[in-house]
Amino acid sequence: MAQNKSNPKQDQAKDKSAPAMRSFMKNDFPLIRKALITLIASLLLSAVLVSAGRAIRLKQQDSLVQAQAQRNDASTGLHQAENDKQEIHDYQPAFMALRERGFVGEERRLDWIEHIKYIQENRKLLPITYEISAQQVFQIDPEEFQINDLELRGSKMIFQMGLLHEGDLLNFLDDLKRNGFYAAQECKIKRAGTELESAHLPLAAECMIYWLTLGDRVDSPEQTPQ
Amino acid sequence: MGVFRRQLLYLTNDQLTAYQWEKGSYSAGHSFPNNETGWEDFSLHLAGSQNTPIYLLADLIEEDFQRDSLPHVLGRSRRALVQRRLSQLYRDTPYRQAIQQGREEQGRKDDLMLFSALTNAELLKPWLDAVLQRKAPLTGIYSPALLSAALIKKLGLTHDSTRASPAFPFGPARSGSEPHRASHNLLLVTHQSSGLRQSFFQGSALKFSRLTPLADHNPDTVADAIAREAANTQQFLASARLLSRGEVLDAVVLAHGEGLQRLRSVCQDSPAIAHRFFDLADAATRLGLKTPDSITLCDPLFLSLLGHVVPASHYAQPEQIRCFSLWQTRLALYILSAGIVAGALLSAGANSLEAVHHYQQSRQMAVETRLTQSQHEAIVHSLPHTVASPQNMKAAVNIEQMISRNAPAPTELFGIVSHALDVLPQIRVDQLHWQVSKKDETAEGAIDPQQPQPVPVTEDQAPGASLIGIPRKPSQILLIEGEVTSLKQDYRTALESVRLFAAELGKSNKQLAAEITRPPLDVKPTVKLTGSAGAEERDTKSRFMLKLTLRPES
Repeated sequence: MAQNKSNPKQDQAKDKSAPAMRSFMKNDFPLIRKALITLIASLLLSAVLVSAGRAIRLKQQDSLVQAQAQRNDASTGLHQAENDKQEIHDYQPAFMALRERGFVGEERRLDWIEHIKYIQENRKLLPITYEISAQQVFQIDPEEFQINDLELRGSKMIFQMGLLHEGDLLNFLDDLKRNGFYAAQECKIKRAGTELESAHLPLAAECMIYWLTLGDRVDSPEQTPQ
Repeated sequence: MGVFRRQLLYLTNDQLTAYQWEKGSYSAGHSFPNNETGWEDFSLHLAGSQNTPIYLLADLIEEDFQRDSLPHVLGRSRRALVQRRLSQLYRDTPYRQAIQQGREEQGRKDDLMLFSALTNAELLKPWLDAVLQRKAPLTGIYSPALLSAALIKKLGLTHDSTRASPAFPFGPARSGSEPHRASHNLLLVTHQSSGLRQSFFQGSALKFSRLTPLADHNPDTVADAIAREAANTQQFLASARLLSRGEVLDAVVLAHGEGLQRLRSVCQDSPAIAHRFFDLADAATRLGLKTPDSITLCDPLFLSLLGHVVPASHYAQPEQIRCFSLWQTRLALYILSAGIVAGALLSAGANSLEAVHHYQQSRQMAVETRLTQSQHEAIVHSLPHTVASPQNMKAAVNIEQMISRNAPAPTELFGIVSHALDVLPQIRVDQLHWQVSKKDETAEGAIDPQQPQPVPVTEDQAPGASLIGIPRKPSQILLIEGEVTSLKQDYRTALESVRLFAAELGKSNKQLAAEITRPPLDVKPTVKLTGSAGAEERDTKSRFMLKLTLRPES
């Protein structure tokens, strides 16, 4: 018991002589607290500076891109206007002539059949029969030829005629060009007989041509060839 | 924060002198007596010194040196062994340390160790308490004796450096001793404010050092003391077997110029000891001190060693230099902060410059845009009214020109046939069938010659523009059916006539290919041939078929 009584005194003496326990937060941290705060403040300030600088740069960059786009648009517009001016100068007379001749615009079937009748009478050709089919739109590969927003239309015409000479057919085809645009596709000329004496008989011809016209594109799925 | 400033404390048994060291020079010392007043003044002096590293140079009489050998072990065992020996040697002081100075050449080749300690810890306590109380960053506790090893190297007094660099600024040797001779047994005698320190080196290794207090710093007193103490030390070293019999002790005395003459007359060389004298001004110059001529004591030499480099602490305890570690951490954090802010400023500056550049470019582009738009408007206003867009007009004209140029027509092939018939009147044509080829005619892709290919257009299907010459001329095919007249079973002549007809057709145009698809008589061995000879065959005719293919020029 005596020992038990003396022990607390000895412990107290030991506690007094022993150095106090160091605590990082109590003893050391205050010495670097300001530096840490400075570091954190620096980090925050730096983040703000970097973000603000970046934001300003990006904003000005966007403005620049927008200004570039506007300038490019204006430049393209100017270039286009200059092109238009030059193209009007270059192509308008020829275009108006094509309109006059019926290549541009609606078909003039009445003109065509009147012209056929006129040629037959004028050339004193044998009778001519013909059949004009419904108009179709030609398929043009835009990679091979730029037709802009126009479409090329064709009306197939098959005609039969007797010939005293094959020159009659060539003259007829030549005269046909004077009042319209066409492209021949097929022509067959044969003798009326196969005997030797049939060399003096009339010839029979059958041809197929396309009457061609050019008009504004009609954006109708039924009429647009796939 | 004094990053480049240091506070050097020179502690003697009587006082502590504080110097401010900055950019290679030190301020006038501020002395504090070793009593309570001095301790309090020193504590006040340290106020606000939390940001200046402190180097404590303890030049005390109570510094003991012991030479011993330890078994050569490494790592944790070595540390434990050294600590145990230090505890045995210096039980009452925490300020103790050990240096290895090579190994024995014989036996176990034990490590040769030098143990040293500041044996009077109570002498340092009030000063260190003040430092710790002020939380000043104590770098370490240093000993002039241990720094002497670095000093003799810098002054070129070591055995090794002597061999490497034989030129020394020694003053003239008094007794004709060779001034540039290096000695294995060197006794460095320095005169400091604390007294007279004698440090004994073998090679460059410190073996022993002791400080003798002086009654006063009169040159005569100092000279007499140096002569006397050097002789005493020589006898001590000989008795301690640090000097072998017959070995000469080379005593190098660092002294101020005024005392040199006196020293030369007092210090008498003997067979056991030879004196050499090193002018303090020369030593100070070698150490880079800025005012070498003003130096009369060796204190600044040791201080300069602490000012220029940061040697490892000799005696300080880890908890005593903790504030220095925190000071280093603090400094690192501040440098890091400054670096981060500087980097951010640079980044922001670069971004701002770029933004300004973009802004200027945008302004310039806006001006150009307005100018271009005004030009555009002027051109648009000057354009005439048209029934179609310029692009459509251009396309219409171009397509008409292309059709006029490329549209197929039978005229050309009919003309060629007509011309050939004029040359070969025996040929009679019964049928001409001209058509546009549905595909490009090639050698591999020839169409069936017997059956003309119809134009591949149905009533419902949109025709392809290639049939009318867009974008290039289509191939044309002309099938000719006829017979060779005025021949009566003369098949040889008939065959020749047809061949001539085909040749005549083919030579008119190099793009034109003529092919006999059905000869008047098929004489190929692979087909059946029937006929009769001598009888009049009214139905026998030399009929043939030719195919002309006109390919567009590529």
